[in-house]
Formats: sequence, structure tokens, C-alpha cells
Amino acid sequence: MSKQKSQVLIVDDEPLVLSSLRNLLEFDYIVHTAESGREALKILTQFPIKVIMSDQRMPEMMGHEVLSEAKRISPATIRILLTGYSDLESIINSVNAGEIFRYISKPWKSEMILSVFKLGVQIYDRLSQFAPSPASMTSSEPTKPKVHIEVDEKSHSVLFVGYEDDEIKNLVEQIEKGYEVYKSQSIDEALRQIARKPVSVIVSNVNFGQDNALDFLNAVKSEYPEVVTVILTEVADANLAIRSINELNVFRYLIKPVSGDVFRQIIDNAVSQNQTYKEKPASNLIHAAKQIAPEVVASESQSESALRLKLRAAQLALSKAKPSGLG
Amino acid sequence: MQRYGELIIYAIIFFALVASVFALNIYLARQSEKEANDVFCATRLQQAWRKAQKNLAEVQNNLMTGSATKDNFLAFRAGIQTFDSIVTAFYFGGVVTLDGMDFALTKPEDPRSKRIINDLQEMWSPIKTEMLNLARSNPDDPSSINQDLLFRMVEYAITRDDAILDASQAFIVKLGELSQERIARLQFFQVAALIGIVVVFLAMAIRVTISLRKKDALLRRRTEQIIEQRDAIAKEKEKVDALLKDLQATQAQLVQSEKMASLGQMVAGLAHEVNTPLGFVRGNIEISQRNHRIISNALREHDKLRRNLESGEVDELERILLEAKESMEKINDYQLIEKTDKVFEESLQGIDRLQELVANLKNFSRLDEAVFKVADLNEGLDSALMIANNVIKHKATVKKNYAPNCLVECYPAQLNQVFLNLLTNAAQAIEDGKRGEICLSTAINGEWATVKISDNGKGIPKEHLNKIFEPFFTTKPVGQGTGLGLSIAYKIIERHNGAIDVESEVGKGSTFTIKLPVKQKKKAN
Repeated sequence: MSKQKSQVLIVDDEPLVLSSLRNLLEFDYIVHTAESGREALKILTQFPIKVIMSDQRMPEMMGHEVLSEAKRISPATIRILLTGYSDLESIINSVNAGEIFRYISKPWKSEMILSVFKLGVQIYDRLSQFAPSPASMTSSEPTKPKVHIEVDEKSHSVLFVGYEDDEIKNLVEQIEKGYEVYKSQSIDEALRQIARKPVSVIVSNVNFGQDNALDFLNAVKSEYPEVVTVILTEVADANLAIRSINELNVFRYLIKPVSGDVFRQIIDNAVSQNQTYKEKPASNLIHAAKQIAPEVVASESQSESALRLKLRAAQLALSKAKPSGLG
Repeated sequence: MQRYGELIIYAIIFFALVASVFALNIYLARQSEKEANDVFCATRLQQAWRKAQKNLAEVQNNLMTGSATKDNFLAFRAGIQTFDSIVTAFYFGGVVTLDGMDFALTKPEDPRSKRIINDLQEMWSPIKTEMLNLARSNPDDPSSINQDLLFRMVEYAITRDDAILDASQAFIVKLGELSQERIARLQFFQVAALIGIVVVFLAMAIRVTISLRKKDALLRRRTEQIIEQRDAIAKEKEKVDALLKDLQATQAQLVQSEKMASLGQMVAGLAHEVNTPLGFVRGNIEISQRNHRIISNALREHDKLRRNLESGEVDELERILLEAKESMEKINDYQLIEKTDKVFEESLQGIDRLQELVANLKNFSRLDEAVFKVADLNEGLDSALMIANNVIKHKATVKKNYAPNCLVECYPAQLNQVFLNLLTNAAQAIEDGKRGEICLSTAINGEWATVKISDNGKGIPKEHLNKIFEPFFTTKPVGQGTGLGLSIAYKIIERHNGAIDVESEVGKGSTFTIKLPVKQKKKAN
């Protein structure tokens, strides 16, 4: 109470929603509200907003567009999207465009809102400790891949998980000049591969066998937080997309087919993101979140912990076989 | 035709043969008549000669004895003249009058009888002139008769008598023989012709039989073919029926999936509309709960303070006073009393809105009145607008221009489905990132009601305009549209005896116009 309150911004075209959320949050924060995207962006330039939460469906500017703009204006601000009825297209758009920290679906629970805002503010504070200038804290700049990728040839690797060889042939051709490419048909195989040599980017299918791809990616992420994940699938599933952001902070959610050029661009960006994570682990939102408040980050399922054990076992087996190995 | 051609040839041959038999018979009859004449004339020739020769001798005798010679001479003259005329007629051809009857004679064609005639002529011609001169003598005057000539003629006649008689006899016989021969020959022809007739007849009969057989076989084959074809057709029909059934099933499925799609759309729209009030009402209740906790806590603290004051326990008064003050801090800072009031107010607003939504939904689906009735088109448009709000809201502003009391006899639920479809299309026509405008207007004009739904979206290309009401026509990617929406709309309007039309310009937008009769003539189904 004695400490100065953090400032947060809520955007919704429905005044009664704003009113309700303001009542909820005003004990702990200075709450700004905006009824349109335009208004929100104006407020964003005027106040040091730590967390912005926007409704997805609004006239004129959609929520994900607002957040995407918000990222440009104030990159350090933690972005939350409030979605009504799951709208597949806009969710996948927002996954890929906005670097959203969390999705909250309507109708919300007050407790959920409070804890996500709390976590958002904590992460914001923590990140600004590491980087005094929030502007330099761009977690990624998707349109401009870093130049060093060209120079540092093949120092990065990409792992495809869960595809037939011929279904990704074109995509592999696009990137194999620049990167080491590995392919695994199953999760077990993928775990062994990762244990042998940590990869920079994982391109994963979502539905193969009975294993859950998100659990697998989660397991990998908890061991190798700097690995950047891209989901490439035929399954356009809003739930999956939301989970992949909320639990995994997935880098891109791609619906097949993807053109070769676009794919190469995305992989370049993903690799550069991986580089950023390695250099500044603090910029890794999900990693930070897990450290600050493990209970808020989606709980680990049993199958995920099983997968983690498998991964550790693979690492152990490898290190025994090759004591002087990669480590 | 060719088959008949053959039969015609047979018939012609047949009739030709029959005709030839008749012709032969006629010819035969003619010929035998002529032959009888010839024989008659030949006989008369012989008689005439014998008469002339006998009387000539008599004349000589009589002259010598001095008795009357006239009768004999006359007989001689007649006989010799007759003889001459017959011989001449036979030799040169001509007409002979015997016993007052004319007989046309020709020179015999058969060489044998011809030779006989030639012989006769040879024998006759040297004495013909003298003999005829003698015959021209006057019988009344015996002295006028040239005795010398008479003597020579008698001698000549006697010497030649046998030869001439033989010759004429032979001629008669020959004529008879020739006649026999000809009859035999003609009979042969007749028989041959008859045989020919029989042969032709048989041939014809056989031919007809064969061709009948052939026809029969052909007919049987044709029948078999027809049966086969019929079976094939039956099989084909079964296949077509099965296909048709499949098609109907598929169509039904598609119609169903279109229904499900619009249902899904409706549910999505509704869920979104419901979620917002539901969201803040729920939030408000939680806030009220929290506020209630804070306020009741303050009440408890103040109650405690009051009781302590009443009972005069002043030991802890200072602490309790502080607690009571602290408990009021949040309430005062945040004006919780007034705010909670407002929270209740707003929650009630939310509940009202939910109630309104449900009423509107009822209005849209009209599940309780899926019957033919009089309904207000404006209400239908509004309910469809509510359902489509989540699609339209972020894309377009809606302008309404309603004529009051747009009452029409219809199936309201069906029309609402059409309105929803058109509204969704209108919203989808507006390109992302642009703020569009959708205009709704209704009008009543005599017997007709008009609904116009126009947008300023991307418009429909000309080449698509006449196809958009066709089933399965869609420009949406596979899996995103059944292409049935507008075709179903078309059907529904048709069922209402109305018309749906579209005007569009690429880049400027589209206007859909629906015309509906205010009163249905016969009950629509």
C-alpha cells in the first residue's frame, strides 16, 4: 500500500465490462480504461503501463491488432487478450502477430484476472531490472532476423517432430542451407535427439500417436528454456492455440500449407529469438513466469513429467556413454 | 425395300409366264384356224383341178361326138379359174373367194410345203396362160373353141394330172403334218411355261419362306436384344436410383451441414453476445461479495465499538476505535457503498440484457411457432442482426431505414434464416481493416413488401452474379462454405412466392433485394 501502485490498462468496447474490471482491480492498481483501440494506444504513450488487457472483438480495431500495436509502442508492457467465444482465426492471428502473454476467456474469474495481472506486473518489474531501458527489451523483432545467422553458418539446428519425410520435403529444402536439420517421427526419438544435441528450434506437429505434443514441448522447454517452438499442423484448433500460448509461449502456430519463403522467414526469426534467449535468459517470458510464480503457469500434467523423466534418462544414458560429451 | 424388290421381280416373272401361256394359247388358236383354212383351200385346189381336168376331157369328147358341151365347159372354166386363183394365192399370197367366203392365204413358210407349192407353180405356170385363154372361150359357140389348143390342153392335163393331184395331195398331207408339229411345239412351250410358272412359284414360295424364317430369326434376335437391353436398362436404372439416393443423401447431408453451419454461426453469435454480460455480471457478483465482506467487517468493528461504549469498557477503546477507523478506510477511499450500489445496478443491466437476448433468440428461431403467420419483417431483421452482431460489430456500422409495421404472411423462422445469411455475407464482403456500412431497409408497396440489404464491401464479379444462387457455388475456400447458403435463401423466398435479386459492382458493394407478397394467394408450404 505504501508502495506506489502500478498502472494497468483495460480495453473493451463494453463500458460495463470496464466498470466491472476497474472495480476489481482498483485496490491494487491504477486502472486506466479505454473503449477503443485508438484510445488505448494513446493512453499507452502517456502512462507507464505495465499490463494491458484487451477484448478481442471490438469495432474498428480488433484486440490482437491493439496488442500488436501496443508491442510496438511499449514493448515491455505485458499483453493479455480477453476472448469471448473462441474465434479461431483471430486467435491464431494473435498468436503469430502479438506475442501475447496470456489469453483469458470470457466469462472470467476474478481470481484468475487478479493472479495474471499480479504475475504480469512482477515479470514486467523483473525484466526492467535486467534492462533499465524497456525499449531495448524487445523480446523478438520478427521482421528483422539478425544478420549473424548468415555468418554463423550451421551453428543452429532445427528439429522436425512428427512428420512424414515427403510432407516436409519442401520446407526442409528451404532451410537446410542455413541450418542443421534433424527429423524425428516420434516423441521418443525426438527426446533422444535433443539429449544428444540441444536444438535451437523445434517444429512440431500436434497430433501424432497418443502422445500430447504440448506436453512434449513443455517438457523440452522446462529443460531447455531457450528452445523456440513452432507448431506446424493441419489442425486449426483454437483451444490448442490458446494452450500453446498460455503454457508454452509458442513462437508461431502455423496452419498447413505454408509457403517455403514464409517458412524460411519464420525459422530465421525463431533462430534469432533463440539467440536472444541464450544471451538474455530474462527476456524469456515463460521462463521468467515459471521462476516467479510456478503455480500460475499451467500445471504440469503427469504425462509431461513422464516425458521430462524420459528426457533426463536420455541425457544420462548419453553422458555415461560419452563422458566427454556435449554436456 | 430391297427384300420387296426381289419379290417384285419374282412376281413379274410369274405374271410374264402366265401371260405367255395365254399368248401362246391365243396364238395357237389363231394358227389352227389358219391351218384349217389352208387345208380347206388345198382340198378345194385338188377338187378344182380334178373338176377342170374331168370336164375338159368331157368337153373334148362332147365336141367330138357333137353333143352339148356348154355345162362341161362352164364347169371346166370354174374349176380351172379356182385352181389358178388358189395356186396363185398360195404362191404369191392373197385372198381367195370360195363359196362366197374370203380366205387370206400366204406363201407357206415351211420349206417342205413351200417346195410343193413351187413345184405346183412350176407345173402350172407354162400352161397357165393358154389354159386360161381356153377357159375364156365362149361356151355357147363350140366352134369358137380352139380345137388345137383344146387338144393340147387335154393332153397336157392328162399327162400332168397325176403329178398335180399328187402334189396337191402331198401339200394337204404336209399341211396336216406341219399343223401337228406346230401344235406339238406349242404344247411343249405351254408345258414349259407352266413348269416355269410352277418353278417360279416354288422359288417364290421358298424365297418367302426363307425370308420369313430369316425375319423370324431376326425378330427373335431382336426380341432377345430388346430383352437384354431392357435388363440392362433396368440395371442402369437401379444404379441411377442408387446414385440418386446417394445424391439425395449427400444433398440432405449438405443441407444439414449448412443448417449446422448456420446453427453454429448462430450459437457463436449468441455465445459472444451472452458472454459479455455474463462476464461482467459474474465479475460484479464477485466484487459485491468482496465489498460485502469489507462492509460487513466494518459493521462488525463498529458494532463492537458501540457495545464497548454502551457497556463502558474503555480499556481497549483506543485500539477498537482505530480498528473501526481502519475498517472504514477502504470503504471511504473507494466509495464502496456507492460503488456497490452501482455494481448492483450494472449487474441488473447485464441481466436485463441477457433476458433481452433470450427473447430475441426466441424471436429469431421462432421454435414455438414454426408455422405460417403474419410477422413483422423489421423484427425479423433485428433478431438476425443480433445474432450476426459478433460478425458485423467490428466490421461495419448498421443503418436502418424501416417502414413501420412491415407485416407479411410468412414463415418467420425461415425468413430470419435468409436475413442472417445475407447479413453475414454482407459483413464478410467488407474487407478486413476497413470500416464498412450495411444498410437495411424495408418498404410496403401495395401488395408487395421489399427488403433491401446492402453493403459497401468488395462486390461480386459479373461472371459470378448469375451463379450465386446456384447450389454449391462458393468463392470461399474448401471447408469454409457449403455454397448452399444463398441457394437455400433462394428456395425459401421462392417458397414464399417472392423474388430475391442482387445488384453488385466490384469495389462498390452489393445490394440484395427481396420482394415478398404481403398476402399469400395459396398457402405456401
